[in-house]
Amino acid sequence: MPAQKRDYGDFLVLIGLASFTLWYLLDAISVSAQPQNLLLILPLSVIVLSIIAIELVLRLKKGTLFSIADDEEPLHQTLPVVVLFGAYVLSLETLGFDVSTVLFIALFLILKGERNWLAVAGFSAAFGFAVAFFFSQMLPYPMTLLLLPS
Amino acid sequence: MIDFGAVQQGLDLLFSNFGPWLVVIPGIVLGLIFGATPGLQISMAMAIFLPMTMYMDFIQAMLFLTAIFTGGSFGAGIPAILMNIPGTSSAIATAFDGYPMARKGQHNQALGVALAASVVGALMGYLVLFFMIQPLSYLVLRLGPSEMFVVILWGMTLIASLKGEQVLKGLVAGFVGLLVGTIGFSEIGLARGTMGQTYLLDGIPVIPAMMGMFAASELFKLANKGFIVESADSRKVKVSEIFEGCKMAMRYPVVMLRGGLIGVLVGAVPGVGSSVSNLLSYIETKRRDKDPDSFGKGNPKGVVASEAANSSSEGGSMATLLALGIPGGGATAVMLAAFAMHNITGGPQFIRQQTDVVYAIIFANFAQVFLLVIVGLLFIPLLANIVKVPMRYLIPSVLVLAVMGSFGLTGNMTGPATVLVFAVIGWIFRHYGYSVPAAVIGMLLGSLAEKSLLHSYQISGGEFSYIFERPVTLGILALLLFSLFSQPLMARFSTWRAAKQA
Repeated sequence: MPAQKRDYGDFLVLIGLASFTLWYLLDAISVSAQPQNLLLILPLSVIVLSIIAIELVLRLKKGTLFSIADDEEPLHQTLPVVVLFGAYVLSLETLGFDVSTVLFIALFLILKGERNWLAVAGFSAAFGFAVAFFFSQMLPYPMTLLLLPS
Repeated sequence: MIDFGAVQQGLDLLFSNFGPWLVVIPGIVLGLIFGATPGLQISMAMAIFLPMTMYMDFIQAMLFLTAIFTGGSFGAGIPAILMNIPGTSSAIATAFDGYPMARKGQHNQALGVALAASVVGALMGYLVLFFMIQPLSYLVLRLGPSEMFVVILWGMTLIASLKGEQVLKGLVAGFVGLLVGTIGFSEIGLARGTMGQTYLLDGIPVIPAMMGMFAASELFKLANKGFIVESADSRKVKVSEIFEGCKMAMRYPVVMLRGGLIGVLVGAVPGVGSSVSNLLSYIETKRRDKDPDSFGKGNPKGVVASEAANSSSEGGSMATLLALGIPGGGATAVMLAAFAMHNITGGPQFIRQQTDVVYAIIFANFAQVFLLVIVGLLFIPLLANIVKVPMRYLIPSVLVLAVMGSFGLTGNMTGPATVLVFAVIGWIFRHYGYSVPAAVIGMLLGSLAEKSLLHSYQISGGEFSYIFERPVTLGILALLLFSLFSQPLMARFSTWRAAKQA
């Protein structure tokens, strides 16, 4: 049986949530310490921090502070998708909604093993341009487009 | 309770000419399309087509908008079942069991179950509205801010404790969601948690955040799979199986009735509506079931509970809109705008002076429910073909729709950026077993919870003893504590009794 890997992620998520809660509470206090401002935020933050403390103590007692890695969803397969999606969103303003959408779909198809190049080019261009055109016509706001008429 | 003279006049208004009915089927189709497209909202469809109602008379405008509402309520369940992506927040609980049914190859039955439950739910909602509009409006008026606040807390606690073994993580997710929901300007004009960014002054854009946490994060996880339904045989769309699903739903009349009643009552509470009713109905059905562990694994009762509740909420929210002139959510807010466009003010005066119009709207909705069966049955096979699309084509397409839809909601890059940030957060939450629905509902209700608490504080003058003058608040608080502690206490009691017997 292969050795089980420790996963620090779950512990870091708890610490991250506690840090956010603490930061938000301090930020709210710095804005105003009036009861009207902290009526919900203060008690809720105290409850969240207490629950996280209880969870950590329970885990320490059980010896499961760092849970075992979940191999059901391998990170090396999912992470490239997350990164590609991030790049897509960040490129919308520079490449335009039309070109960045076409590129995102084409790269996604290639990443996930599509090797029929005609399908990659045809689907990404047809779907990408159609959706970008539809939304640019339907929405009352200006959309950045590189090739399509705005 | 019922003014029969007004009933007759209402029927005359509807059937004296065919004009009002011309807009119903286009309205249902629009609602189905917008509801079934992740990222597009029912309220968005209603808002986009609101200007068209300028050229209609008031009855026709109401029929058109309520048809979009009816179609959308059911349409939102379609992607929830087929892709685990609720089209709107009202179909969150539909995904809990609908999607596992689809993964088992029972997508046709699941869609049939959802259609039947939606139809019965919507019918119940309007029946209750017909008989109870006046008593309901009185009940809603009695709900003060303290009651609203404890209802929100109770709902949050129930939702957070859905994952029995990870209650603490669920509570953390839900309460952090509530905190995130208060980011931006508060009721008293103070900006918190904005990090100096002007686009956060109005708070986190909740719908893009919801799309990121539900849709995108789930799609990241599914990116490694070939099809939604792995078996090729199970991917077939069969109308006979959809009918079978409709019959399956009818085997659970109690679940449907309970869901319908929860939907009407919760739907009538302003600001809460179908987003919460589907979850409450689901939780209540799971809690009362002999086999609660089967929920979340493809139990059709879960789909019935959620769809009956979200569809009957329409009747409840219409009661609040008609009787008080208060919109229960985004969709009824658009209807309120339509009222204003036709120089009509909702409220007790409207009910008293234009009772015939109120009854005409209710009767038209009875008919719409039956039309939904026909239009729904025609459209489901078209929409259900989605299971035949390979994941590598489906995932980027849906992600693109979510990004475009979020841009449409905010009008700038805040929407797509929010989808991205919350997609990553949602993916991390899913990976480590935090309740994504609890976090999302928390975000949706955060500002309302703070506003209700602040109003209670202002009314009471900061006196805590005020709560003892509010029996309904105390009752709901007791329910909250019971839901939170009953399960662990019962488990301890059973262990103690078993140990004693041994």
